[in-house]
Amino acid sequence: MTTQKKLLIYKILIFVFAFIVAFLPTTVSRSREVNSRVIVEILGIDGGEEIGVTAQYVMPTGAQGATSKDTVSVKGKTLQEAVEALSTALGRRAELGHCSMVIVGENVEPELLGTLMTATDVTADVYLAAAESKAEELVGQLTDFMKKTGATDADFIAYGAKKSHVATNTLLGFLCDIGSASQSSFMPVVTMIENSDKQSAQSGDDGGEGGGGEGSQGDGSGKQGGDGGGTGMNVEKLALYSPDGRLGVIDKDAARGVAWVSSPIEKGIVTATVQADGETVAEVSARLLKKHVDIKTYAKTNSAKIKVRAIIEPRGDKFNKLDAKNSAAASKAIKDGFSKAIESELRAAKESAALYGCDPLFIGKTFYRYSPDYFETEYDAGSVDIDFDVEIVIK
Amino acid sequence: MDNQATNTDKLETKQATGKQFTAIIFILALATKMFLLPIFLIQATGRDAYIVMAIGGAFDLAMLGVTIAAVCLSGERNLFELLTAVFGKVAAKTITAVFALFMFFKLNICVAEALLFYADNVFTDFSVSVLIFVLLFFFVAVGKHTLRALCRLNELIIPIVVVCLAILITIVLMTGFDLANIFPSLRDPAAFKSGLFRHSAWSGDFTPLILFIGRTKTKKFTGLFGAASGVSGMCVAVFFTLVMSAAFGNVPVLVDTSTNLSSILQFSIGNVYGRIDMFSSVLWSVSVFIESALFFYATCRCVAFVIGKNAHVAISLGVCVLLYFSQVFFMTDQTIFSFVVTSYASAIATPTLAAVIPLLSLVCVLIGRKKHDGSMSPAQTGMRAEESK
Amino acid sequence: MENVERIKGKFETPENITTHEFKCGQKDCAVLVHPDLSDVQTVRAVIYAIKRCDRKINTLDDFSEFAVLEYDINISSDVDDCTNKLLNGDVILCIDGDRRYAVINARSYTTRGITEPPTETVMRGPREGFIEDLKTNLSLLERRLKTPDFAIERMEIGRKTKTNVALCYLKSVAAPRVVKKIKQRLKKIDIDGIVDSNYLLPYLEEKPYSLFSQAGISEKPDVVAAKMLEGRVALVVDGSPMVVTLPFLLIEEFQSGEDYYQRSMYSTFVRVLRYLGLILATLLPGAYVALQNFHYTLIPVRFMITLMTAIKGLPLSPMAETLFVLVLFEIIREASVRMPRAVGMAMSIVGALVLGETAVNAGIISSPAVMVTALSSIALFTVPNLIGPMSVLRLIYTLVGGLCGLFGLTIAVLFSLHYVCALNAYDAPYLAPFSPLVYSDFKDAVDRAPLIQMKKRPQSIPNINETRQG
Repeated sequence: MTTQKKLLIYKILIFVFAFIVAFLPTTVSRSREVNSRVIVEILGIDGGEEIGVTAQYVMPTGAQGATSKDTVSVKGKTLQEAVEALSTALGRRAELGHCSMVIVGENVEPELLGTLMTATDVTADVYLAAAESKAEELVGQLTDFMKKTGATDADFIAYGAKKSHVATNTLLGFLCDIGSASQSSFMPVVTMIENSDKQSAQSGDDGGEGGGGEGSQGDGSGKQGGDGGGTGMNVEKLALYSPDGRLGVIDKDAARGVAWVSSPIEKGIVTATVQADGETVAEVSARLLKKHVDIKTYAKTNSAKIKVRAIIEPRGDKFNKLDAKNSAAASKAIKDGFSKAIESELRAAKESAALYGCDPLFIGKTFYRYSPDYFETEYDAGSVDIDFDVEIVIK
Repeated sequence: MDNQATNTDKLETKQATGKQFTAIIFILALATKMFLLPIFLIQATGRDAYIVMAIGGAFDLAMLGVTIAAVCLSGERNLFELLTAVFGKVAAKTITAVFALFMFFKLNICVAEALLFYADNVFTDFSVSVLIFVLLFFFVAVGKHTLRALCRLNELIIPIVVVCLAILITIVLMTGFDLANIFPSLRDPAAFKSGLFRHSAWSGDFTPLILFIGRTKTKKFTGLFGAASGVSGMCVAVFFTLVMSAAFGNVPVLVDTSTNLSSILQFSIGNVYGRIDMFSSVLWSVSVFIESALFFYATCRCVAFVIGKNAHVAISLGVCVLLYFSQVFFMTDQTIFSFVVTSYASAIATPTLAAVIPLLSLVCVLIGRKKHDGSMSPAQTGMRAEESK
Repeated sequence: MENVERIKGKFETPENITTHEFKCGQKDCAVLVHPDLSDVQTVRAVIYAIKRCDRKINTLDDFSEFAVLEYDINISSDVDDCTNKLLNGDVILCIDGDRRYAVINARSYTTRGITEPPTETVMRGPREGFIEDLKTNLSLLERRLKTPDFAIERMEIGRKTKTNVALCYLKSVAAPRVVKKIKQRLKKIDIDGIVDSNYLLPYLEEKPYSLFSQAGISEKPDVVAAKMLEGRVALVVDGSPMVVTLPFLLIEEFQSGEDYYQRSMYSTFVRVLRYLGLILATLLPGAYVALQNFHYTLIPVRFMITLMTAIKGLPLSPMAETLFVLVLFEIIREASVRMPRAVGMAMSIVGALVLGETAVNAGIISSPAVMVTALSSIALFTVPNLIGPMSVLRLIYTLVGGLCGLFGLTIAVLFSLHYVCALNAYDAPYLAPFSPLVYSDFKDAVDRAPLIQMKKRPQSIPNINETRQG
């Protein structure tokens, strides 16, 4: 073949290629553009007869980077239908890929969340939060709250997972837990704190720093004995789930106990009452630096041992008063105090979970992992004897 | 003409250098093993997927060992010359035709996987029938040019692939998976068996390496390095399968083709890093393109030998047309795709051929070495002519 | 005189040739000279020498023997050759009764002074540049390579232009097969004229249709001398200040003469910037369009909102918009390169301020697209030699990115890389030392190692003497 012929063939090929790629309608449709989408930041799901979907969406407004938020609620027979209806309601395609939080209503079954993951664009890493009753209401309140504080991001829970003592769960993590041998899972319950005049101003300031601060702030102040007033979010309780749906909500102490074992908490405040030299010092606070959890199961004795090793950094006047650095006795007293405090939280978690027949500490899962035959034949969640061993390291 | 080829400096006296051979082995070891295969394995086997992957990988590695031996012992003559010398012309062509069919089958699986990955993960609406043209365009270029160009391309790309893998591995290790989720192992032998069955269609990833016989400049440790890179590539693939098994082992129903490494990482790192994982995955998917390009090249050269003509552009175009039809009408259809890769026929034929091809090549090389003193008639094959290009 | 007529008869317009006829003893003599190309002083000296000669001059042999002249004298009987020489500025002397001609070198034409070339300015380093005169250019090279190894092979190319081309190489370094191949290719050229060294390139390159240049072009003698020391062959063409060097590697586009005159650390840093700049320049618009059209989930939410605000209500799709801005930029650039400097200023004001600013304000194009194009174009200027091919590639990538997303973009980049990988010029792999990997050559690829480390010549360039320093 001469070079000229070859060149001619190449030219024709290039032309054909360009023609095919450029003129087939599917590739040049403009429906794909960014502007034909609406970004959904928070999605609320309600179960029941009909599936309700509430979306908090963001719209760019005139100025650079400025946005306006709003909510819309739709219903459908199935989740897919509801999501489809959402797009119709918004007039454009709802972009769920950027959604960072899913609010789960009271009647939602875990199966529905499985559908959410596989059938929609929602990614596996979205954080879950439970509403006390209707997700629709909570999304609405959250939107109002975010509008008020000017918060741009909706990942409060993600913040909580990293920076404070909140047991969090992502969509895939939740489903994975439900599917495990323990058949249990959990998600934090978000409630809105209604105004109390005294502290509203202060909370407003906090909100201005970004939505993320709010979760931990509410939590932290609650722990320190304040009323936690002001407009903000309260993320303290924990909703427990089985494959059939929500089992119930456990209180703050139990929730903290679950967080110790089952959530990758890194930071957060721990408080304890320390008894040194016969004197009781209440509410010594410390910051958690790191924790290691080890669950051991013993099939023979039908018992389990949860070992928690927490590295903490005590701080504040009360700690200074004790001055643990200089006295070994004080140091021991502090360690004892904190280990007692943590243990009581763990026990609270165990007891409240047992009340609902749920296993958020995943004892059953551990039994199944290491002694599967025993788990399948003899295991009975109620009869397992759980022991706690808390070790405190002061930095 | 031949004279000129040997002149090509001491850098590249042959089509591939030892380093390029090693790099290609690494890519072949992990490219398709990290795409859809882990998902299929998890769907079939649940949390034991990584064991299946390791067993399948061990089989492939054994075959890799045979291929490396063939390449290192081959001397100057390429596969087609050896086949002709050992079996005679007609038998050699028949055997090569079977090779070509196998390569084409593997090519189809590779391409289908790459397209599925993009269709399900990266694009919201991906029209395979149109976008495959971009890939075919690249394939024609690969078919037209030499093996040397492909080897060089791979050598150029491999640092990017390795860096992306390193990023992905770091993300996985840093964010901390509950790897204990893979326990207990082997609770369901039936599922395990069906997993092995699934894997079989993916075996034979190293078969295109037979093209390197007689065309690689081997040094003392080339074989050793090749084996090491194969093993390390396979370890990476098994590691990622392990991670995915740990994440999805409890809920295998949730994995579908839109779930792969990328979504797992997404889950583990969250939106915090702005989807850096996706970029890495896209960059790393380049390795699958290279693997499929190698299968394409192998198919084309086998066809060239069978029909006895060196019309590389024409043959590439022909194979592309076939590929287009098989992809658009069969492979993109999920049911047909999974039927093809899970049918008994392919589950038996693929591993058989994956074993036969390297073994046959090694036998040819060994017989060829003995016969070498005898006649030294260079059969005019596609490769010899191309080498002198 | 018959001899004179024979030469003059060759010319379409013989009056352009000046003939000085005079007597030397009994013999009629004539001097033919091209007044535009020759030195008049030489003519005068020749006539004076003949007239003053004490010996009787009957033939040209006598002339060359007795006339004491400081000029080269050749005796030839070939009329065509003499005509050719005359056109090169030589003076032709004929003596009645001798059919032969004496060719006296009297070439003299005004040339430009040796100045700093505008294409390769340096902060620190030699400022000399080649000019249009072959002789001067060769002397510039010879002054830098004072070795008997320095081989200069001359040839004439072009039926009409008879352009002098000098093939220069270092005999003990350059690979003989490369020299031989280049010579063969040059000999095969059958063209009416070579006006510039760039005319030679298509005949010398392995793939003349390629987008990428496969021969090095430099205007600086220091650069060419350094390249010759690495085993390359230089082609100096009369009438062109551009010297061609072969074989050529892509990394040479990223090397600048100045790299070697600066601290090695800084040079390395600058080179890394060049590579990054090029990658950014070619891929940024394509990636921007692909992300916007297909992969918005990859864009962080806040950035996406900014983007949505910026592109709200634009009439053009992201791809059309980016292509439009890119083409607009290319037009402005092309126009300003050819413009006189004074107009150029006005041009950039109109282009940048009026067009750009107004178009953004009017909502025809968005500011992100302008920013992406501007960033990409500035990054492109870090490698001035690749502006041509990369501008074209950038447009193609943008088109592919817009139509096929990251999938298309990835394959398009693979395609281009594969194409470049397949290039092999004179046994030098085009992408060496990256692929095939040549560790030893990495000292002068991305990294610019201190000279004391470069003990060997690059392996990527064929050569017969590896050792550069002991």
